[in-house]
Amino acid sequence: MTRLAQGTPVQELLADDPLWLIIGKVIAIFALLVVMTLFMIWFERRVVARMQHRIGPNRVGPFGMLQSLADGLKLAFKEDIRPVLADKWVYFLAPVISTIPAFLAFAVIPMGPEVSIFGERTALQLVDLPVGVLVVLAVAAVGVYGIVLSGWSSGSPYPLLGSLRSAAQVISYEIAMGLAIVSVVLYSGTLSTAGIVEAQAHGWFFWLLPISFVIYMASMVGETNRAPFDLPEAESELVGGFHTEYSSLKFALFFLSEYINMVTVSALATTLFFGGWRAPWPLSAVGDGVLNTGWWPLLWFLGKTLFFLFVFIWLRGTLPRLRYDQFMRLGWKVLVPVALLWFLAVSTIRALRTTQGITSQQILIVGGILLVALLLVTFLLPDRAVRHEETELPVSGSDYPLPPPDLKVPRTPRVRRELGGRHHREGEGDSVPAAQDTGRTAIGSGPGRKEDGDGTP
Amino acid sequence: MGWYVPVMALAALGLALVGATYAIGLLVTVQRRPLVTPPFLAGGLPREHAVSRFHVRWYVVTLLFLAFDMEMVFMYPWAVVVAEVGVEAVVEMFTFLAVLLAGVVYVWREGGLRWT
Repeated sequence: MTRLAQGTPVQELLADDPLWLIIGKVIAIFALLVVMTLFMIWFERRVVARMQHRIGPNRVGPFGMLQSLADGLKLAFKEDIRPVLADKWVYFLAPVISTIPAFLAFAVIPMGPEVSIFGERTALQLVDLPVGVLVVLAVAAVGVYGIVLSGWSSGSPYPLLGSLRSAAQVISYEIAMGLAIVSVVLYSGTLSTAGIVEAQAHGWFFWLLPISFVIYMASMVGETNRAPFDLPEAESELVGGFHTEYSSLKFALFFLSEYINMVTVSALATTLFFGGWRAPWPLSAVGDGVLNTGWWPLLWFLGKTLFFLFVFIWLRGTLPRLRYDQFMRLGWKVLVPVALLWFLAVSTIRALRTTQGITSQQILIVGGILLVALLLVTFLLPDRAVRHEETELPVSGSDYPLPPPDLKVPRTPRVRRELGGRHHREGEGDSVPAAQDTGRTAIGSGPGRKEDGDGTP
Repeated sequence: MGWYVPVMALAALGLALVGATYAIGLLVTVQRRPLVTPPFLAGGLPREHAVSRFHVRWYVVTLLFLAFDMEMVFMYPWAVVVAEVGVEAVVEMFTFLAVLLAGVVYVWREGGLRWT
């Protein structure tokens, strides 16, 4: 409690910011996010194009860099539409609700240590809230409302399905994400983002909590509805998902919020696991940590964030989209249990270290012995018997079953009617033996195994 | 409370951007009134309103999420102080998680997490 009351060094540094500096920072963050969005759309298209042996946008501006600006201008001139069954005001407000919270999360991200701007000492961070991480999670949750309401108010089946999927997806992966973040908080002992970066001065949490990092990476892709988890806007199933019924600049706002959310979760990943603005290892040793002071950290921060953004694009270029049931299974039956178990292990180790005076060396030794024992047990366990199913059905290429060659296909009603009309006196039964005869001849020409399997003498 | 003023300023700037976007859309548009269209159904016409029927499983996920989210609400303050309180706090949290896990195992067994 006392820790929160007296404030961290960063909080004290930020507390005496003059108004012009705060306004400057607000505008800088805002501009950074908008420029990053424009850059990311271009970057994504170029990188995916390169991965697919295409060229990508290269006409507008140098290397096509102004392509996303041109697309934005084009969207402004598109005709606005409104579905006839739409809930008018909610339909109008949904893009607003999804865009504004996207901007907020970046307020608590620390981008650099103490610097001097026009003689004023300050930190490269807008605010350092004592509940910083919770604020990021909270505004991410509010952003979901925009998606849900857009699909709900469109009055159209595809957007409704997209928004329901999106809601279930985001809340499912938020649990895994939250559990991954709790492990970080456990080690840093604070929820303030600047405090978490401070706690990584002697080693990134990426090395300490690798499993949390993997879980966070998976869930951040799920949170932002990106491939391979882009089920809310799965083009092959739902046309455009929750924004099917949106056109013009409303559609552009959804795009904007999606890309800002990507930048935000990447920045949070940097803050939580990659040491925030701290220089990577060989550089951090240069000149007694001179690269960790002044304006240099901004470079490391942006570099690490861009790395995560590249991973987003890389995933999209590599992996196919999951099915929704596979996706939910991964979330609830893999990520959440693994995150819970990992969290239990981390908190046990942490408590033992602080109270019982057990060193990390002892923990590593015990953990190594446990791991070896576990490996031995897995070697001793018998393999699960693999059932070899002798398929009677011929299989071609895929495992889609083909009909057997002696399949008795009944004649179509029309043929039967015509035959019945012609062979009026001979009765209807004569068509069936004929079919069996043709079936037999087909078997006779095929492999002998089939004939035995037929069962007829 | 003073900490949140800059955050609100950022929100206001976001709102200004959205407002400007809507205003530009209105200014450059050829036709003021939006085109009123039937829902997009690849050419078909809807037979009922979209929200008239959807699957019950979304409710199950929501309830499950509420359980987990409440647990996390307790977890964050706990994680901040656990280093000071020590083993007792860990034991208490483990008991709490065990109760929660029993519920999750029950839901899992009953097929609440099954999607096909």
